[in-house]
Amino acid sequence: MKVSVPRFFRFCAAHEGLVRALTQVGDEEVTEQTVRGIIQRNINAKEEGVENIYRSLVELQILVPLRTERNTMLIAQQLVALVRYLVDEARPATPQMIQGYINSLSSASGRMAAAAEARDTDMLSLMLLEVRNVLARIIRDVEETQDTVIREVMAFKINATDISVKTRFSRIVYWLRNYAEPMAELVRVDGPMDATFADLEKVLNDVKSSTWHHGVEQSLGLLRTVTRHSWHVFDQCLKELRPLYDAMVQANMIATGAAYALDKLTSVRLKEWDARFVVDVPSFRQQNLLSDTGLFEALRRIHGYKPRARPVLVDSDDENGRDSVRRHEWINSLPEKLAANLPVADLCTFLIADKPDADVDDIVGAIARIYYDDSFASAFNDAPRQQYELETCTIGACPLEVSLHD
Amino acid sequence: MIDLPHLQEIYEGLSVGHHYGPDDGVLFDALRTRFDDFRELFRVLGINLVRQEPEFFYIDAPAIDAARKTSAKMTLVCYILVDHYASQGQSIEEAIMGHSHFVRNLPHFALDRYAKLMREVDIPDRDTLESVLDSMGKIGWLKREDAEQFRFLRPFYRIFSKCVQLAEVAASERDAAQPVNQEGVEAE
Repeated sequence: MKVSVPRFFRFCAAHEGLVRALTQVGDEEVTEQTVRGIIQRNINAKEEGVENIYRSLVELQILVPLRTERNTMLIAQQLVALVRYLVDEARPATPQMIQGYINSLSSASGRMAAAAEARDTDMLSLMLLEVRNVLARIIRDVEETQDTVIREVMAFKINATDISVKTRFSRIVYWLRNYAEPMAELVRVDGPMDATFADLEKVLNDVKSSTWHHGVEQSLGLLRTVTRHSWHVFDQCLKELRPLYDAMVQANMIATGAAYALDKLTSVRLKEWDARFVVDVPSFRQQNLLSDTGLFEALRRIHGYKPRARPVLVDSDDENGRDSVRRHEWINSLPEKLAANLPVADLCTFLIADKPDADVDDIVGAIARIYYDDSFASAFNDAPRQQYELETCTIGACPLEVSLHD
Repeated sequence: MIDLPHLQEIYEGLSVGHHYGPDDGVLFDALRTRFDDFRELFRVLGINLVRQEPEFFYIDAPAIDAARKTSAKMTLVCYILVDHYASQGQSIEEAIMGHSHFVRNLPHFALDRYAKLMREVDIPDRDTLESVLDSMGKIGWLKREDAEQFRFLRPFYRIFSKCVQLAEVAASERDAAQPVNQEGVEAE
């Protein structure tokens, strides 16, 4: 059934939202119920009625019934293509699609060679037409791929917020790994496309030399265009994606490293975290050291030092003070005297002999001085308790034996 | 006679952990133009003077005692900032280095997860965070623009470098944890 062109375009113009919504379905099968849902959401149902619109869609062949058990249908792909063309919407070609075209050209090349050999001009015409169609599709698909990649790159740059670094990185990796790199591999010099095209070019040149056909020259020109164009397009895609990928690799590593460090802070001991994750900022200044001012003052004193005689203790007018000083001097002189007489069997006898006028304070102070001196070994021997006569009194004590410390 | 410009000032700064960048004016210029001489002098003294890109200078040595604790606090503050901007979707480098930051907008106590980590290194509140920022200012990691606002300086790139290094460690740990079957092929 022929479709009225004016009616078709009038309908599309009046229901742009609905047409766009339907083309979003793409080439998927849809049920009548799904279609009615789309209509409901995209028209003023009260004014136009879902049923009327549904009927118009069928009459205008926008809906293509599939006669399946589930009563499914397709959206007319011509309409989908037309809308994409009008809104400049691109769909990327997958490497599998391009590989399919290459396989198709390879097959056509063989059949064309056979047709040329058999001088079957009808078959040759068909083969040339097929080749040109495939080449045209390749051009269209690689252009759509480039458009999609550029659109994705722009969206990536513009929508800088709301998406985590990891997600952004994943998207770039997706485009690079699934489209740009495999495509570039397919179309590179000495790659699968190059090999097939070389074979095809040879066949076309053979055909050209053996028989005249107006489609041969045209196909050869198209073939060379496709080769150059495909390489250029995927090279451009790589140039668009590579810098983003490199930047995102770095950003992703930074994000991963920080997250790893934060995660470990709660799972390892703080000391280990300090050792492995902390960026050291050293300080050579230690706590409790002299300040610069203190050091300077000390150096100034050393610089201005003049040797002087040892200070002499001035005799005090106070009798107690004088006794105290003399006792102190006698006690400090004892280690030297004792060392010259070691071993000493009885320290008290030694002390009284050395200072006959010693009183109790002198003797007790002297014994303590010697007993706690690390250079001597002092021990009470087994001798019985002795009586020691001092000028002022008599004291009783066990003899303390003193020898040199080991 | 050692004839290096601003040697005393530069040494005094480096010895307390200062990092020299363009904001340090003539001292930075002195290090930039006579770097090899400075490095050689410090090398003789057992000090490793480092030049890192984008150009800045610091001493690479382990931090001990109080300096170690301060280092841990500063490092954590930076890691949290990186983690925050990574999940915001912005370019981390641009977000941290390209803008001024308001102290009140810092994310360190906005999430319980971050606050808990901050307590681990003894930063329990915003006042302590402020004192850590002051420490970072003293060593040339950031510059206060006013009481509320500051911007990070080039030495923050030490954190980025450390993150990249840690990401490699994390990746190798992940690889090592992957079960390997008898053919030696890593399982998915």
